[in-house]
Amino acid sequence: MSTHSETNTHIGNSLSLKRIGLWVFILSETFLFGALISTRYYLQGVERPDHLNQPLGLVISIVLLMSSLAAYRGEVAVSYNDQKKFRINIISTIILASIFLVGVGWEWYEAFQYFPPSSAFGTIFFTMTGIHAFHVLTGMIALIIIVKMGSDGRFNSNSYWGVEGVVKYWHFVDVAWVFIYPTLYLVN
Amino acid sequence: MDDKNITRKFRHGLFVFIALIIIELAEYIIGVSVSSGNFIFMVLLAVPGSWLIVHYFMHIKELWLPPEE
Amino acid sequence: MTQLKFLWPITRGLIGAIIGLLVGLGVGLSVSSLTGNPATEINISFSYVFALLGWLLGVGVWNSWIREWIGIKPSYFEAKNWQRYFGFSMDHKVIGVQYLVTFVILFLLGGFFALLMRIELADSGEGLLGPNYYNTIMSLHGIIMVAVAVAAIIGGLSNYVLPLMIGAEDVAFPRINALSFWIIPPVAILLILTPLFGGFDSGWTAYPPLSVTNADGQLLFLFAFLTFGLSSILGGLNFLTTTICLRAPGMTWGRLPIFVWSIVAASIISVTATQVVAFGLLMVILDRVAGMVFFDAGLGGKPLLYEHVFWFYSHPAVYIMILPAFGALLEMVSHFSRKPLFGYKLVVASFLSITALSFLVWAHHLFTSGMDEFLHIPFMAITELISVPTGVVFLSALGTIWRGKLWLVTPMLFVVGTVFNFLIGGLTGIFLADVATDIHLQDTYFVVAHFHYTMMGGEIFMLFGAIYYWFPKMTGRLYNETLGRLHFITMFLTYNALFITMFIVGTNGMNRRVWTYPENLQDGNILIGVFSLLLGLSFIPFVYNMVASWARGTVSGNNPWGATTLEWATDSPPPEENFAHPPKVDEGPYTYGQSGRKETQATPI
Ligand code: HEM
Ligand SMILES: [Cu+2]
Repeated sequence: MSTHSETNTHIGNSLSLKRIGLWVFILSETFLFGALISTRYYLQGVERPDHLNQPLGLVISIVLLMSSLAAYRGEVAVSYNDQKKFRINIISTIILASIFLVGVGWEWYEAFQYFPPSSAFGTIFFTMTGIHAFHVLTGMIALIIIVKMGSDGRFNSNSYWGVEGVVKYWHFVDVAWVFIYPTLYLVN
Repeated sequence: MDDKNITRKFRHGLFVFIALIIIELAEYIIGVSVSSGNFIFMVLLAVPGSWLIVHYFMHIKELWLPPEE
Repeated sequence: MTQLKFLWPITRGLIGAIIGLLVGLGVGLSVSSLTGNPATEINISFSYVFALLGWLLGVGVWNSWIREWIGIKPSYFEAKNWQRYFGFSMDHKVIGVQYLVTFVILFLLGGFFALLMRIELADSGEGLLGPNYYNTIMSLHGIIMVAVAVAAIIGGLSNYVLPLMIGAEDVAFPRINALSFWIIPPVAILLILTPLFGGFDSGWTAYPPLSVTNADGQLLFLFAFLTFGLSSILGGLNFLTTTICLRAPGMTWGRLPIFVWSIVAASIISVTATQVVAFGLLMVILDRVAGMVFFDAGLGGKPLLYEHVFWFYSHPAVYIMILPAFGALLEMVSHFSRKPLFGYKLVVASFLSITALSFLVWAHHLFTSGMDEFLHIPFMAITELISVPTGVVFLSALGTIWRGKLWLVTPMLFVVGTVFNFLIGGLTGIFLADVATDIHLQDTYFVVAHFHYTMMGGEIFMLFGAIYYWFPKMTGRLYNETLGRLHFITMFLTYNALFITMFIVGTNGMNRRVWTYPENLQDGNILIGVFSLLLGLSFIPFVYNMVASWARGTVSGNNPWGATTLEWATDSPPPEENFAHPPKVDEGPYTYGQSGRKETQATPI
């Protein structure tokens, strides 16, 4: 009764279709982050408050980049059918992502004292990091799902779109941070 | 054969990662030391940085390749 | 019990929504007790977000996505016949009809609100609604009609016909397609609930600072608009990917029917610009709920930020509305003039340049807002530039009609009517795009009449034309031609009488968004009220015609219009997989007048 389920050979199994769909989604998200970043400059120019924990920002940026590397390795591993390396790397991605989120939480804790959400910089700071952290969180959930799917033996070197898609999204979240980090912490 | 390829690709990933770290550190150093007018440096660093990820990790080239099936 | 099985998805959705609501309320209560911020709005926010998630999970997301992810077999229950329309169907034809019926109902509801407004305005003093309710009703009318204009052609008609026109079996992501429809009911419910929460008096544009400080109903509106945006993004994503990836063999980009091109252009706008307005609405929500200060000028925010962000979406959004209408218009012009479309390539080029330019004109809505003066001239110039590609569309329509054999059935009557209406809409737009005249006309009924000429006269007229045109394909039956013409003539005449009067009261100084006005404008307003009532009555033949003809109209056959595009090559209504044999295409969409042409674009098998 399900000629219209996604398993339909014509529609569901084409890799390039899924890829293009995901890229269109990424394009769409780019506009969201573009609007976020423009808002920072529109409201505050390049001003930056004094009590900004720049070293912490650097550390969590590096953690996020590391998670991207791990995600990349996970994708490569599954494309060579190396299930063990796949598992280890994706789990490391998840752990690094949690460290990133803890870092953001710490920053929020500090930020509340110096520039709370009811100040102009705080408004931007909490919104930008918050929306980004939300993306990290959804990415983490997706990563957990693919670990589970991987351990059910649902991926192999011929068919691993799930991993590819999630990892691509993860890299995109990282790209967004590459712009957010200097915008919030460094420009002056 | 496979094993070799996989290590080669892992190494590529590592290179990209190192390049990204260098960019990030450069941004940081400029950010804390140049006290005004550093916006342009940030753009000049962040754009190539993001391009590295988009190109090597996200394989944007696949969009221009003909569909494989 | 088994007969009612088709109601399961909706029931599960409702149960999910209730559970979500309770969970959200719990979360909201605990968060607000922690922070001590204004509690009701925090509770509303969490309750809504969780209720939305619960609804979506229940109605279909759990069954068709999550089960697959966690390794249980997905379960699909596809009901048969009319019962399909009540479930999480993934067939684009079912979804198209679901969209269309929903939005026609919303259109009639929005029209009912307009009548309420006219009753208040029949008298210059206080009447039926009064200052408390007038603005809420006005705002509800506005947002509902904007939603209809954005989604009815794309979500309804193009969902139904676009895959058929390109020879595909379905859209690229059928599940996402279903999701984008089932996101709509919560939007409608939220909007209808707003009066219970004090309403919202900000208009559909929701400018701060008013929208940050008014009643809780505003928050419901903001969430509704945001959710609606999500649905638009998912729809646009689907149509772009479908057109890129699923064209039938031989259906090259140069052979796409013009309607498909217009949907591509509109989809590009909806996947990109919608994110920006979503962010704008989110900022207002954050100001209200989390105590942020995006728009609080006293604390370093800037109210003007919202206007920029909002119009960065909402100007392109008028092209999300009008481009599909142009596409449908040119499509029908060619078929009913029995001539190939004049300047096909030029039209495609203008669609794409409209798409690009539409991102660069937003600030013409800000001429009187206190925006920096030096921005006036560039935005005025680009705005006027965008009428060049718009003119090309007109040229193409007229060039096609020129010396064609016109077949003036109802859809074609709507085409002619639209050309006339949009001409007036476009010409009056020029006065508004000129800084000097706009400063006088801004916020008067002149603007109201202008955008009704473009949106209703252009988009909604075309929506009805296109419904008549594709009705035989969707139902397999012919509508009643006499009733169709009656609908057109009454709607066209009363519509024009109504809005031309509005231009006049507008230039005489009738302000928009007010429930009272100087007494010398009374006559004009009474006239408008009478015409509105007549306009409302003109939809009765339409509704009757659709319902009666669907039930027992004459059987139409595959191709009652003798049109050449692919959707007419298959059965009416098409079988579940659209084409019994996958079609092969070897010529352009409009081959009228060529010797030895086949019946349609498809090679007969
Ligand atoms: C020939 C092309 C057009 C031009 C030059 C034009 C120009 C303008 C200008 C300058 C305004 C701002 C007026 C003011 O607030 O003082 C305006 C308002 C508006 N236009 Fe157009 N327009 C054009 C086409 C369209 C189309 C195609 C649509 C929709 C399908 C549309 C819908 C609207 C709406 C909804 C508003 C009012 C927004 C509001 O304040 O609520 N326009 N137009
Ligand atoms: Cu505009």
